[in-house]
Amino acid sequence: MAKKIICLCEDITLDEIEDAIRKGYKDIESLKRYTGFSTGACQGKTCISMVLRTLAFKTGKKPEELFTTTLRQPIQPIPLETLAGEEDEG
Amino acid sequence: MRDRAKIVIVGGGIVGLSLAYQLAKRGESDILILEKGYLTSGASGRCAGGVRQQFSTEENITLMRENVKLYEGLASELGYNIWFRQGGYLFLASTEKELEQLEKNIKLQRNLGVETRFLEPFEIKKLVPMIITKGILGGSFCKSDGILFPWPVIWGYHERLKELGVDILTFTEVNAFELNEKRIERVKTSRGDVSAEMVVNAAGAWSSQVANLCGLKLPNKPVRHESLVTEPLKPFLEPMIILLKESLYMEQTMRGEVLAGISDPEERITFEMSSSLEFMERLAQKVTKLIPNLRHVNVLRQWAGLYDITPDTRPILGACKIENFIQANGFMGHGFMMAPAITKRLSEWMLFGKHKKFVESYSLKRFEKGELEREAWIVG
Repeated sequence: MAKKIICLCEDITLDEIEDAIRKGYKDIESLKRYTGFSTGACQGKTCISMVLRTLAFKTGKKPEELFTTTLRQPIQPIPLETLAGEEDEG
Repeated sequence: MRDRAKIVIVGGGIVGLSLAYQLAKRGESDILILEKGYLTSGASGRCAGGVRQQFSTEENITLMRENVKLYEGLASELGYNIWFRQGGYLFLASTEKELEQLEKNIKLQRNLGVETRFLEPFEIKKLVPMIITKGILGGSFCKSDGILFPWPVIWGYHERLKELGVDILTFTEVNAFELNEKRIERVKTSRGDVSAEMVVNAAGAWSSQVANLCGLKLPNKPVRHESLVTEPLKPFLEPMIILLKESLYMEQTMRGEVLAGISDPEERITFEMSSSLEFMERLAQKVTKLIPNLRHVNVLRQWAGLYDITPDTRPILGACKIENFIQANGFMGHGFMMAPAITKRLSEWMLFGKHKKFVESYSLKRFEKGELEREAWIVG
């Protein structure tokens, strides 16, 4: 059967998410750090809801009970030079 | 939840897990680890993963030489890829004073069998062609230093500990200790009580709070440090770079990201792990000045973690006034670096009474005596 990719940035499949849940990683934060989903370029914008749905289905909990991962700044990727701004010191 | 365990370890970070592993390896697996969050929720999930032998005291250099050896073998020992890459550490000096310290450290490190060498600016350029060496007087480089990925190290220990029969309870907070004279009889947690023969305080930056529960005062303070990662790039940066002047570190992870941090001008003593825009701006200025080619690279995310700081920059280990309460904290942001060798000795001290002198030298008692030796190179 074809692979179902949940996290497009980090190539994480549905199988890998389900396998991690079976191993006991049943909260969204450790699931993130065990599989690496949501740590790529989009920072979870495309995958978190799908992972939450899978986790809810497997644990019998509601998605809102599972919360979500801590949102990290910046919301959009920002180039280092934009953050650095004008050179203001020697 | 079980109602007794021979050893209860408070804290499921690198120190607690690695100690449990060392104990279990030596035949003692009647252990319960209590973690108030998820595994990797504290500093062990937030650190940069650097492992270096380039320190300024004989004690730390010797210890780290052993830790590098232990990390070289840990993946095969745990049966788990910990992404350890030995690209070296490159310390950069920009002032005469830093240069002097660098040369002193190189001499000491070499005397202790660490292969650190001095690099002239042109040699630095050869090692990392993108670096602008203007203003840099020299560097020290040790190839066997490296970086690992903290998350898989934690999962590797976790999986192995389960096989060894050690119990780990996450989302379980310690609320109180029941004392009988000078001993902890029972540990009261958010999921019930457990009686124990020995209790270990491996709660990292929260260790002083845990110790407070039985009236023990620790001198540790939690200090917030921030980090960020960029989008992944193809490999361009072999060593971890430390710019001493700014207390800046930057590395390229095995995933290709640039991971970097810089010390706060003010020491932020807090349990709060929030991130700041000021940090990102300050770091971006310094990083783009050192490697201008990175200016178009995107920052993906930032976060913060806590260093568990002690007055003399040394960990706190071993016995205290409460007989069966063992300290394993105060790791100064070096818990990952130092855990394997330290917990190996600590486990043999707990089980067989070995390494008495070593453990005693790190005990709380030293603060009463007032003979303190400090490590000069605390970075980030």
